[in-house]
Amino acid sequence: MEIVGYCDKLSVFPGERIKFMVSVDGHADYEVEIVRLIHGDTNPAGPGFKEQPIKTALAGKYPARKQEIDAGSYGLVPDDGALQNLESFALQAMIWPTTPLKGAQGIITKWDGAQSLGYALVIDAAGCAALWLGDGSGKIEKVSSSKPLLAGCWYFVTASLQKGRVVVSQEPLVSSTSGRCAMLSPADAAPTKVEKAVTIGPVGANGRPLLIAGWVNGTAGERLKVGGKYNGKIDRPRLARFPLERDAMDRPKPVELIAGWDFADGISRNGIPSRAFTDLSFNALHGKLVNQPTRAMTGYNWTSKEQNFIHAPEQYGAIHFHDDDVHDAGWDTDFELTVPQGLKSGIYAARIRAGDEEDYIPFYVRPVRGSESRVAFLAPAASYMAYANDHLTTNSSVAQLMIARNPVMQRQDLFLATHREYGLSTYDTHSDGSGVAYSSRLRPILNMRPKYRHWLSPSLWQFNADLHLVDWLTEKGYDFDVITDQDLNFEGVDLLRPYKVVLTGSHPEYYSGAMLDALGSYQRGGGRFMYMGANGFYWIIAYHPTDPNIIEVRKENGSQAWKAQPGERHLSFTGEYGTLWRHRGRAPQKIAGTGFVAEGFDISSYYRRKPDSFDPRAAFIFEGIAGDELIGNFGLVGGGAAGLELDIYDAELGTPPHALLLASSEKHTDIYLEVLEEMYFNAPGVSGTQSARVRGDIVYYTTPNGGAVFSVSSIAFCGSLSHNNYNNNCSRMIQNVLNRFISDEPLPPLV
Amino acid sequence: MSDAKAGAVYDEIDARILANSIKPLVTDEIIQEHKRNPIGFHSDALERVLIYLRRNRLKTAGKYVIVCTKPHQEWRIATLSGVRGVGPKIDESSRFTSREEAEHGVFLKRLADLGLI
Repeated sequence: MEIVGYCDKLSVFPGERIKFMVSVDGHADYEVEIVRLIHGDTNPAGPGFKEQPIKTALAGKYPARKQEIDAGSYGLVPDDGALQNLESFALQAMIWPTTPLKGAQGIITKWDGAQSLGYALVIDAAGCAALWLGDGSGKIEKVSSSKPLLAGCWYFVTASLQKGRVVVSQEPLVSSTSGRCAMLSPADAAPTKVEKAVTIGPVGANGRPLLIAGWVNGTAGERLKVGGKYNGKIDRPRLARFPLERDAMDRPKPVELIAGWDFADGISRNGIPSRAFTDLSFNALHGKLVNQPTRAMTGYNWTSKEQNFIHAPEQYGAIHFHDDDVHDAGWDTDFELTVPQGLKSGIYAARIRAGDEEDYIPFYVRPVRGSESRVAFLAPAASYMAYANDHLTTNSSVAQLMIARNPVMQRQDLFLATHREYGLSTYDTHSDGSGVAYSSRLRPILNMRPKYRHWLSPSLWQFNADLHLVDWLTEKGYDFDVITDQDLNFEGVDLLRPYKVVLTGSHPEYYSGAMLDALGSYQRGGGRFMYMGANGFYWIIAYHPTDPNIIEVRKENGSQAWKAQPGERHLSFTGEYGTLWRHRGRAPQKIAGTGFVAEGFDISSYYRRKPDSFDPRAAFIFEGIAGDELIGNFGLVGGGAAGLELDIYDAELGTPPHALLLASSEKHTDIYLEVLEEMYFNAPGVSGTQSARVRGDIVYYTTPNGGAVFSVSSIAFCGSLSHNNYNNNCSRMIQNVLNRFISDEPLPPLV
Repeated sequence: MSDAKAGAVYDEIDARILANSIKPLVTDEIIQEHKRNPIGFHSDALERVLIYLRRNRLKTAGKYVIVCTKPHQEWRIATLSGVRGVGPKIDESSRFTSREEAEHGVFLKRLADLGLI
């Protein structure tokens, strides 16, 4: 793709300003227009792509420039006199390298890579701990331990210069819990020490900051160009005045340190909400983390007795750095929009075009407070972020088995396949194989676009799939607002209170505690809730407490793309236990009456009415729909309304006892399998043609104070709404429910 | 942290699965069945063969995918590199006018690669 961009805010009020950052390759200029997005599905079998241009002063041509992303996380300590002109010092750390043979990587460096100037503890190109020195007179010393480090094993590494003598040592730290192996061969387990006499002047006055997990290669404008990005954990990095014994590494005296950083400092009952890290020395050379490396990671001394970092901070002094972490692309702004007053709440985008290429940068416009509609579409933006720029087609060995098709790659996917620096989704693993726990929206997210067809779905998925619902609401003439998860997380139930009805998207999978609390309060307060998808309210996430642009998830004990390592299931942003909400007593059935039971991604199917659908109190839902009609045996997502992921009524998991089970889907292929968290043992017979639990259940129940919940329990559902010019039984059913939910007429309570 | 020894054992057992459990299932009937309906309900024999082919010995290098080169009009077969940052190699000689045709094209290519047709 020759043109891509992102914006600084996801959700804005009229009158607010929003900045757009754009990169263009191979064109002198590009065109901008603000559009309202209605329908993003270009399938000729459906209503086709729909957007409405919005008149703004922004429209027009802009000069193009290319902007780049520098991926990879590191710690940065600003330059300081105490770090310069050193003649005697020791760089030390506990390290757990994950890719020691991937090329030279910085551990603790005050090193200018372009000039070979300064000092650096590194893993060298041979995979060995090494000390690099360059004094500016042309004299460069590189001393290696000459023994390659083993991936996934902890080492105590020391690189010192004392009175013209360099010592480089690496000592394996093997325990039964903290490393990959509980024992090593005698050769691997033996410590290594290399000594060399050198003649070199004082080092470190190179005008560069000190970095942890990389080194400085130069600058681009005001930005650092960082090389030698390290993969793995670093625990207790020290720049000591002389080599500390291993025991002294844990609690060094400040006087022994030029600097020494404690990555566990800042761990509180509420997690590690800061990106700063603390120097223990009198020099107070505190640092900050760039590109969000993973925190709340087990350290070299983790014993496994504690699973939560907030209970044993001293065992969680490690940070896991990755050469492909991305937090903020940090691009310069290309244009700014002041959202016009009077602009209707909805999903908008800056459409940018260069030559034949185009990109859309979506954003959400909220209603002015006090003038809300009666209906809100709650866009599952956190879930869009979780899938942002996923690489499963090229990296996952099971993707094709799960979807029972060949993934169809789009131009966006081809671009991402060669631009890993655009960052990863929480479905990916980092280049060292560890799971991706964070996802940020401060970068172009190319699978959150209108027109985009996602490999996982037979057609659309997430952002673009949710436009099916937006289009239906628009075509049916409903007056509705669009609000987002992000607003819900930070504002709570106040966001929902004005609305008679709230509709979810097709896959609101990633939920924070604050978001769940808000939905619960809304439901108890009489709100009416339409769950328009499946596999919602599933993964526990947290937004960064002060940065709404980034989310965190820890995957384990569910249906997952990666597994959190032992002792690392708690969210660093908050200290909460991660994984699935059902493991914390909040199964989706408690919010929506149904919860995740099965998935398959080849073709979709239909629902058949069940006895409860003939209950007179549910008659309004099926008005105009015959008793024996198959519901949704058509649609733009897999050819049916019931498909991709399905949710089930389950009293044990919290479906309220008075809920009506109105309809269930059937006739799913054997690609649809019951999900892992539903199983006790891997017994056969859990696939679509064999298991009666492989189904989506349409459920309805009333809630206190005049509220109600209606759940369709299938991700594919909204793709059926436009069938036959919006005249079909899915459309009819949703219209029946929505009209009744909007009205002030009380619903007959179910008891 | 790949392990060559475990990989060799996997490949040896997988080759036996291919020879004993998959190869006998590859018939003209299942090939025709796949052509008629490449995505959706399949006979047990076809489904077993497809699962074997899609797994590709759990390797992404050399695995086929489909690339949509003109929306709703043109699809091609591509081969994954297995290396991060190195994009799929598009087979310019392959060209299909539907996703289903491309799906069948990949199926035939995989069978041919394994000497099954």
